[in-house]
Amino acid sequence: MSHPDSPVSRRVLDQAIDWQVRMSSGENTERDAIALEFWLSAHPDHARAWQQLARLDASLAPAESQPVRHVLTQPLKARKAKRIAGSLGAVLAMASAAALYGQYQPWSGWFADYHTATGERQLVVLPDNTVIRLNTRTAIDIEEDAEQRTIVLRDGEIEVETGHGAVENRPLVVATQAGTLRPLGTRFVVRKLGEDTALLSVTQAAVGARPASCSRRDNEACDAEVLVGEAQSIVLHPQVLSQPLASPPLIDAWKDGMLVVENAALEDVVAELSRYHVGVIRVHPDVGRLRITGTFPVDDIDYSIAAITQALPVRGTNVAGLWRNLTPLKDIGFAQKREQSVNEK
Amino acid sequence: MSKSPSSLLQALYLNHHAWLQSWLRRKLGCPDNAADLAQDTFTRILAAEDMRPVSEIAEPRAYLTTIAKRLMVDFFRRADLERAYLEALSQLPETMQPSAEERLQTVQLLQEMDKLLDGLSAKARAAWLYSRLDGLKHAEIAELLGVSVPRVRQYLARAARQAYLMRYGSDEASANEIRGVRESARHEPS
Repeated sequence: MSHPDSPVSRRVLDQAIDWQVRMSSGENTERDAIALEFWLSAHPDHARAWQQLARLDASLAPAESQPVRHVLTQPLKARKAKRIAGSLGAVLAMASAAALYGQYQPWSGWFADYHTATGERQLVVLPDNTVIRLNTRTAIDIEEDAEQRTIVLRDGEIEVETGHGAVENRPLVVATQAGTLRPLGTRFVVRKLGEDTALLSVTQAAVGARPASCSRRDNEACDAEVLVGEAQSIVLHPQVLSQPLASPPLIDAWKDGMLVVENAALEDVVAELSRYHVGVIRVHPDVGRLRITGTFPVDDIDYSIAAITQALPVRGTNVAGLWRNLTPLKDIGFAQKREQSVNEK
Repeated sequence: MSKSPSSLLQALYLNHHAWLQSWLRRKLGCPDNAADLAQDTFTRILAAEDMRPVSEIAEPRAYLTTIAKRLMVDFFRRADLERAYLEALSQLPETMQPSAEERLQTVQLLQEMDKLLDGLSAKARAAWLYSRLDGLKHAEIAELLGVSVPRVRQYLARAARQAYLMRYGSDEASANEIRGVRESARHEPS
């Protein structure tokens, strides 16, 4: 005698679900009811599966409350998603919001097919010579079925360079919680910004982007698909895509271990560098908005900090190699400070 | 010489609790949450004692972090759900606001339902609720969601299968992962 809670076989479960769907269609007939009775009496497992499904219904009762139903049927917003609405000029600002967010976001890489730790990069080559580069703190799964191959970006940032092997005729798709990307013989960078937002930057040819609210299967039409061209970037959100805008320069420099910024706020640059670094780097609020242009090695945090302290009136202190502070230079005069604040405006 | 389970658990606690708490503090950046989650981790191990005796844990720290990571995922998910729920409540007039206790209870239920529906799209979730809770016909659901009737049936079958596997598990041994989630869901205080 089986316990009422013990699972039935897949086959019986499939049949029971078929029956449940049929009986709830609104088009079911008397004949269906008789056939169901017959099926239920054919084996004790059938009746058990049917009752188990019915008991699931009871656990849905809380969704009778409208706010509960709303929460369950809306994709959850990431904590910082509201900052994503702006233009791409703010890419680094968004990235820093995402980096902040990353500090208390669960690391979802534990069960992924491929993942990198902080400061690591990794190269994955698929059988058709498609090259996937994983940046720091990145996790991807590779899922294949008869129709397509899917790279699921769980966390972090990847660059994809599609292969041209004749061995493969299934399309390649990159899936994120924000939406899916259909590369058209191309090279591009995808980065997860928040729980359900992602940034796509195309570095060669073009990529079709669609929000998650469209179908994940690219053989089904979706009006919301947008073609993103070379040197363009776009922010994806499950409901909506931003307009394609010009990419920041050398957004893929990380694959060579570099971060390239042009007239960026110091706090954003530090947030970017922090992605590659295990310790904490704090920026004093008085210097966070100073602008800086330059190229920084992401793997050598000491060198990068030294470069910053040479370019800006800031001082770097280091506590046990794990805790770094960027503070205003002590001898900064009152007049200089005023001059700075004028320059910022 | 074999030790009793409780003294083994005590030893596990004494040897690793401080380490686990500081590990969690690094991950979470918040000492209070780290202390709570460390405590929960040991509670979870105690509750799972008959399925996974402490004496059989070969790599205590690896095991502790595996459980703690699972709890962290739950913790963040719960925070997201709670925030979304409070946002939804803010749309309601003051007279309809639930008490603090009711809110807490609802967040708990929300988390359980969210687990049941884990991985389903918003439309599949909506379709399932329309069908099972509201008793709408497939054609009506199709119209509400702007999809075809066969698609609605697909949603319903997928949702039922997902919730079934989450609640009851699978009879196949290969479904350990799902079963693990189910077991941990069961030990949630209700």
